[in-house]
Amino acid sequence: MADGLKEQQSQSTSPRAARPAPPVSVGDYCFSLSSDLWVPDPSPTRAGPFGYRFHVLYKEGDVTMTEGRSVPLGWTGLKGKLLSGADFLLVRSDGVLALDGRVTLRSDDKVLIDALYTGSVDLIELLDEPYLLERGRRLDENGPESKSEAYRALDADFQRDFLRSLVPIHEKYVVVDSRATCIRIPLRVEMRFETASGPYPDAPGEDMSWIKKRYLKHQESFFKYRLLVRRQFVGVGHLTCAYALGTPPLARSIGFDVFELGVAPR
Amino acid sequence: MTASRLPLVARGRIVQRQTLLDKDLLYLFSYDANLEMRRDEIGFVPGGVRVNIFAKPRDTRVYHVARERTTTGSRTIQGSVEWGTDWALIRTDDIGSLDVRLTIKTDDGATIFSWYKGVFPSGDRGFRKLISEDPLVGSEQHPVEAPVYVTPHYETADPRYAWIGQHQCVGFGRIKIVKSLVRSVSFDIYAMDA
Repeated sequence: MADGLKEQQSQSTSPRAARPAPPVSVGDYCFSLSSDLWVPDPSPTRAGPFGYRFHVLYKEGDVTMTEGRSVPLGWTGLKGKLLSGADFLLVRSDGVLALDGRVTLRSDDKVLIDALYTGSVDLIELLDEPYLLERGRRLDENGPESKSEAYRALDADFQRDFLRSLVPIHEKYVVVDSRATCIRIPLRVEMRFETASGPYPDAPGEDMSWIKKRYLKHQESFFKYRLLVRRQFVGVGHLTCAYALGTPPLARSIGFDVFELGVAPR
Repeated sequence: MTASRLPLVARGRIVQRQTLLDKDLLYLFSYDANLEMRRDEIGFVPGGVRVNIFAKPRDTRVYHVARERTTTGSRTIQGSVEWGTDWALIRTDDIGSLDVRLTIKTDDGATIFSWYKGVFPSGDRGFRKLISEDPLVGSEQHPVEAPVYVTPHYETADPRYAWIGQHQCVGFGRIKIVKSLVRSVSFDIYAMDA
């Protein structure tokens, strides 16, 4: 999944860009997350004019690490369990799926790590060709001045139809597992992490025996995971939703590969 | 500051209002959340100690208490908290910071989503007391209670409860601490109603 993402942005050919583009490196692999999901209430919550909200809870999942991939300098790896989490998905009225999630991980050496992520997915790209052709035809029938209006109407159509699961999905996004026909939605999210990142900072040199032992224990392994709280990360993966005619898509499982977002030194 | 709260200028000098703007709080509902004994204690992060606290699913009633000022007509909510999580931060400056998301399932089948932030002042040296091993704060027989203040907003797809989305709400609560752990939290929720 998303291997070989490492790329060096090529130098711009624009005459305005005399200096080289920033050499962004996306690709130092850190670990992978996967979990089944649980939807307490399949009916969405109307989020005012923004769209519809689906609340998705994580079941216990896995934190794994694929060997043999390029990792950030100083990264000692992370394996363990995904304990809990939630994603407050918003299907926006313009056909964009907005992700807003928080999960808690526990490493094999008992360190707890919070992961926070946000991201956007263009759901209209999932649609099968006839729908897109119809969109194009309707746009062609409108003058340039009314294209925005037409797009708004199409977004509204999409929102209504997607929630009823009546729209055709392109076959490359449809997967069939042992249980049901599903849509596999590609995800790109930005991720940040929180973990016990160091000794109690307000009292250097102070006797810390008064602090609960478990908090002190958390700090013993901070050096292994300090990179997580000091860098920016991206997650690349899939959200799998059950897809049945006449019902809203139902989130079933999620998986990410987590990469450090780095900037190479000049 | 709204336009009406700006100082008025009359004959070249600033005239300030002598009366407050109209305001009102409309009681909506209450809930007493029982919390999971399991919690994810992330530990020391910049600013304090991060602790994730979970409400026991479907174990918290949302109910209406007869008060002097109650909502009228059908504008009441009764049900239970479907699920809820607080990503809390016990700050080193003796303030607890709340970041809550929860879902209410009403008895008549509506789903109401809520998210809010809030604070609970943990008192003098409250941070040190809460993360100290000895002595632990509160006991089963004598739990320690502390005030907590939140500002919820609600969303729902159900037209019967669409009215609640039109209000900014405030909640006044009490948390109960046993053995340095937040065991339960009770809130009265009001709508800011001009």
